[in-house]
Amino acid sequence: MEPCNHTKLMNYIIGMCKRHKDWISTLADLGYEPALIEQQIRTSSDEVVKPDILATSNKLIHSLIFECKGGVTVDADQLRRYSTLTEDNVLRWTRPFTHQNFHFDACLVDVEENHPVVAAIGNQFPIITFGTKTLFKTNHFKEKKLNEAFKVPINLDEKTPPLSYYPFCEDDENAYLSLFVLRGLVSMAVRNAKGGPSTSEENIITRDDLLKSIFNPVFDALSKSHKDRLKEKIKEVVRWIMAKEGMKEALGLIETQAGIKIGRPLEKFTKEAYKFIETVETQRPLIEFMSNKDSGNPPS
Amino acid sequence: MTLAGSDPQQKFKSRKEFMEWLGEMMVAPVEERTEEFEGEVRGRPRELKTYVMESNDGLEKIAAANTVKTSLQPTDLPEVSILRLEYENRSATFYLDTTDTRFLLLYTNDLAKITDHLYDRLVNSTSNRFDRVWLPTEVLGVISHLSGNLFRGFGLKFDDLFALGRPEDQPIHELKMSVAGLSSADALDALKTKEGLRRTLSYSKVTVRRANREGFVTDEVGYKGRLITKSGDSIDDHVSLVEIVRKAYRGLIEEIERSSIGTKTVEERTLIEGEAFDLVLDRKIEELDAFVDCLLDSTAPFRLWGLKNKVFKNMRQVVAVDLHTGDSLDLEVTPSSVRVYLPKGGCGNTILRMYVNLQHSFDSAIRLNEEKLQMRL
Repeated sequence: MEPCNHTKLMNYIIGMCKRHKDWISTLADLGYEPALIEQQIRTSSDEVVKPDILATSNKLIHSLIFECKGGVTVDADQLRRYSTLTEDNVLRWTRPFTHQNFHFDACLVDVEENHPVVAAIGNQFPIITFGTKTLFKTNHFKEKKLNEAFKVPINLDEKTPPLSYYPFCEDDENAYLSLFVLRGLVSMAVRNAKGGPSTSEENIITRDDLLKSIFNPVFDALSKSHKDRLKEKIKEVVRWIMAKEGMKEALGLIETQAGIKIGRPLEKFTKEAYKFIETVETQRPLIEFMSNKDSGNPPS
Repeated sequence: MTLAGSDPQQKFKSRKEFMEWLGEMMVAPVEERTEEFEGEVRGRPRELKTYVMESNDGLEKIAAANTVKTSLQPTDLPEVSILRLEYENRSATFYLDTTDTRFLLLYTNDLAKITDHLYDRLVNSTSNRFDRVWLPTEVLGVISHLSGNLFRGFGLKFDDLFALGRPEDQPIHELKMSVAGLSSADALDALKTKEGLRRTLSYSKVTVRRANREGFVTDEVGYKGRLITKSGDSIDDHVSLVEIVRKAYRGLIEEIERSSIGTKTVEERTLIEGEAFDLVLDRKIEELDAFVDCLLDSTAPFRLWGLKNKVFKNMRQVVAVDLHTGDSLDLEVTPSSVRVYLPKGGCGNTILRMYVNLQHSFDSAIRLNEEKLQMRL
């Protein structure tokens, strides 16, 4: 089961700002540190953009503003708004050690299969494209060090991208998110046994600290609207799991006044959790087929 | 049962009195009446043992331990208490020094067989956040060669918990060895030249001699954080070695926790900080699913629960829970590495528990590919 393209691309870029044995560190080598995720920024023409990631390099006095395009939908108006972004707008949200010579690039990130569509509309922006074997760049950055770094395609063969810096987004399948929700329940149950805070379905969907245990502490770097959307999504998945026939009983989830308890040994819970994930996984192609059939599209 | 050196009435009016008491425990004479324990007749002098224990709750929740009966008695020294552990018909007394509230020191000279068992039960209690300290082979090597320490022997222990098929078909599925004496280092060098042993040479202990003008001590420092005095009478040398181990371990854990994943604000910038750890394997994982299942079986030594997900052919994503604390942990396992994401606020001991136990049960040539940490190791 794979995360959606958007989740993958977010992790690929954050991972490039880190140093890992099995992944590329092109951006870390140039001093970029990832900062904000989907922060709303008002542009000089009083419009709004929400870049997926903002990374700044003190070494180059430069920011990279990434818009990750996991699908084929490219909003031409959104790209136009990015063209109205100025240095001052960006500097409201990031602080390189000096403002002198500060510059930035807005950059699109896409996957190879969708690249022709994204490139056709986003032709005035540099684009980083992830293929199965290579990463390549289209168009040019204002920062020449970046043009040098991406001058030739970067080999991704034998590389293993990170996937856990940004664990999921609202576009991910419920089945994928259920891994994190089930883990969150176990985590809270274990913490309860050790005298930690108690949990309940309501708590999971409203309290930030409980949400963080389902997402991760990077949750703090998300914009408020992004947090709200993820909360809604997690809420939906919790309900989805609880509403599955016989699921509560199979997983041994007992709703009490104090919260949800796992009334089964972990071993049994694990077995049932795998069964549940397997079931929703095998149902997925059929659901997709049915929905595509309705819309007249071929199954992807 | 009255045990040599144990006196729950002790009050310790000063630090000096406490140290002298520990010194007496170290040189406790052979008991006149030999004691029978599980058929063994024991008449050896008591050995002073010190356990370095990690606690995420200080001493607060020690009474909540659900695997062993505890009773705690204060002394006149605020940082020293007397801890009695009991389980079934076994009991032992520990002198607990909480000067460092995260890394507690438990001194005892009761029989090792009993104290090990009771200590095991205490650190594995599911109602506490206690853990052992897990000393990597590299750290034991460095400690045994520090200025003032003389390397006088070592023990090796490797038990392949991840072997596929019959254990007897593995190149080496178990290795246990103990070498003591002046030329121990030569024996170790000889072992290192054997290619077939390369991935099985993990220290279970190192023997260290420390001396001053008035005395000496020879201690065994075990990889699970137990120091045991084999000979000598210098309590200061023993306790200073314990301090070296505790401080080295604390430094390592703090460095690990500085790399945990979270956010920080620096000069008005919100940064995503931290970096996952790469545990780089020399031995290839043949069956990813079997490896991950073994890692996540919820029991000691790994104490991890989790669900695995096949994302790519050669990668398993794991959403895990550290049963020591209840914290979430993300892993990505490939045939040549285990990438571990420790969330901010998570316990650094999780990383070392996994690393050290992989050294002893899968690949002693495993490396922590994190520059700052590698320097400390």
